[in-house]
Amino acid sequence: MENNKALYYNGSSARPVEVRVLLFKNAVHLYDVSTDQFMQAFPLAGTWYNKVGENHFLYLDKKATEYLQFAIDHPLTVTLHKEVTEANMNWPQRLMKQRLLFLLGFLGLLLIAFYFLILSFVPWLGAKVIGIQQEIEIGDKLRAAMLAQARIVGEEQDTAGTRQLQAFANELALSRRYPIRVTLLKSKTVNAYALPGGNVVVYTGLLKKIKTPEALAALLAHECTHVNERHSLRSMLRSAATGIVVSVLFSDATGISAALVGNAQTLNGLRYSRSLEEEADHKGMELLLKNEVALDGMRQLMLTLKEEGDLPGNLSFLSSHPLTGKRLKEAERYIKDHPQKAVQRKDLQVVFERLKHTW
Amino acid sequence: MAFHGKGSEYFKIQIVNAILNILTLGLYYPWAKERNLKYLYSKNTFEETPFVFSGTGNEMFKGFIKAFIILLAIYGAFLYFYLNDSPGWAFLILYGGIIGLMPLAIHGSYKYRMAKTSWKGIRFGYSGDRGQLMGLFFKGLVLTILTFGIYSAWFTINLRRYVLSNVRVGNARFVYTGNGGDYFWLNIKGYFLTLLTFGIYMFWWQKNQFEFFVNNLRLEQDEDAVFFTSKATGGGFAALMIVNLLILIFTFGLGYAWVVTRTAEFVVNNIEAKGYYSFESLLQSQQDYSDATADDMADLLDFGFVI
Repeated sequence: MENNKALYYNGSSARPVEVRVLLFKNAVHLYDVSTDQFMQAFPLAGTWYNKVGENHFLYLDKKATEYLQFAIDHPLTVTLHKEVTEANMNWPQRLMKQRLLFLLGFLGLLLIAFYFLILSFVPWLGAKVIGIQQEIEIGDKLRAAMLAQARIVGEEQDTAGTRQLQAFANELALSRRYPIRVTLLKSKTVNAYALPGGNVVVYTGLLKKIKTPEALAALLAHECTHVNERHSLRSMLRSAATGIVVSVLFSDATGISAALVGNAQTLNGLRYSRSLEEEADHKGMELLLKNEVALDGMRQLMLTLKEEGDLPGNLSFLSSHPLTGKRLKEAERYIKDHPQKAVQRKDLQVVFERLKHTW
Repeated sequence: MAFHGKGSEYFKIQIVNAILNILTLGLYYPWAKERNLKYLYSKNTFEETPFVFSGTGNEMFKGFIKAFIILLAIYGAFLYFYLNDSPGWAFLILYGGIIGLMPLAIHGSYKYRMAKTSWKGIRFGYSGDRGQLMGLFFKGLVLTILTFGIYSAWFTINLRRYVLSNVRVGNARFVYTGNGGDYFWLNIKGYFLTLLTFGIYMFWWQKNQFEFFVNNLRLEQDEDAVFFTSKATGGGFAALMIVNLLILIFTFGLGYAWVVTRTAEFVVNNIEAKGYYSFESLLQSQQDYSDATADDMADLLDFGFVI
């Protein structure tokens, strides 16, 4: 039996001794080469195997201080490798045995499942935990921060205009749960947005372009739908959830992949916010109906926005709002489906005139 | 020395780790670390014998929990004082705590990693003294602040010299002989030449730093010694780093496994050992040590293992 010799390192010195190796009863048995005396046995479970360079190594204990060394062409290595692997299979190792393609697919599926789980769970939980009152407080803090930031770029609040705009908003029933507070900001920007908890910010740049009380009512109805449906809060929670996903998955990977994921997220976030905008248009018109304001206001608002110009068609995926043309069509369809009596709210007209007179 | 690892093998380990990390919401991390280190060690050979990492996920999990609790306690104390209107104390505790933990993390991390590293069945060990390291650390920190950063070269090398000179393999010891002055001038030269060459010299600067690390290191036992020398070239570093960057960019980060194995291969294959020493005379003489708290603390504080 010449083909069962190996070098044995005994863990007390780096000088190996030659031993004979026999494999039975799920253990590695070592024998002295010259006397054939039994030396020691090591159970296969708990050993581990390493094939590197021109040699095979069999570590006999968990601390890996005792081991056997075989040449790469040693006849025992084939059986040894097989039996050691089988004796030590735990399920991460079983997973290791799978083909790469399967693993990649499995990882992909898990990623998607995990992503959607967190993305729906965190905003759901957040919305449950954060009450109306807290949301209002958050919104007020955000408004203060926004005003401070606007001041840096020279945009001040228009106090007289704000008062009139608030009076206009008060004429409408815009929200049952949130106190609607509007802020008019002096700026050339054609824009308006809603913060959580009932704060709506309108820029004078947009207000000056609005010609009728119905269009202004449509604008407020749109923004207040964002408030009522908690869109801002949901967006904020959603981006926080995305942050969680990214940090769990890429905590040990490189900055580059995290940045790429972040970019993809931004794009996805925009798509998400486009769907929110569509919802705000739709429910905004329901609000108009309820307030007996002519639905044509939404169409006028869309025309005003359209004048401002859209992004070129192929860049529309970069926009947080759906293309105005598309929104205009949606509005027209809604108007057609909901014929109204031609009512004109005189009270709105009066406040609107007063507002227009502040500048 | 030689590195036999393959990017594809390491990639597979990364994928399995990622799957298990997701399934366990990140709690698999210590076991993932075990797998990574075991693989990288086992493919790294010296005199045709691989190194072995014998740390376990279980140990590192316990360490991770302890390290986490310690950090949480510091943060808790910070919050307590901050909310009770003594921000002075709060920040003192936060920064003092974290800075104070750093030398402890280095010390414990070396103790754990070395005790879990073996070669030819002989354990490595770290014989540094915690108090001395802390003294060295705080002296260096204060002087670095007082000299507006100039002392940092001496600070780094003094720490490195202390730590590496206390690394043992069985009954043999490592000795590091670099000094802060040489390191300072190396970096001054590197910095200005990099500026002058619009960044191209960076790779040669890197090569010099690597050389400064390797060439000042030796292993000795009584009258025997092995000297290490670097064979790395600036061009070699340039090829390594540029290709690594391209791999990362074009694989959207998925090629990270190849970046790791390529780097390990480059580093290991560029270290040459020469001298008079019979490695068969190594004897097991270092104690085992299984507390991974500091090693995980170093991970949590996010600073690298090698100084």
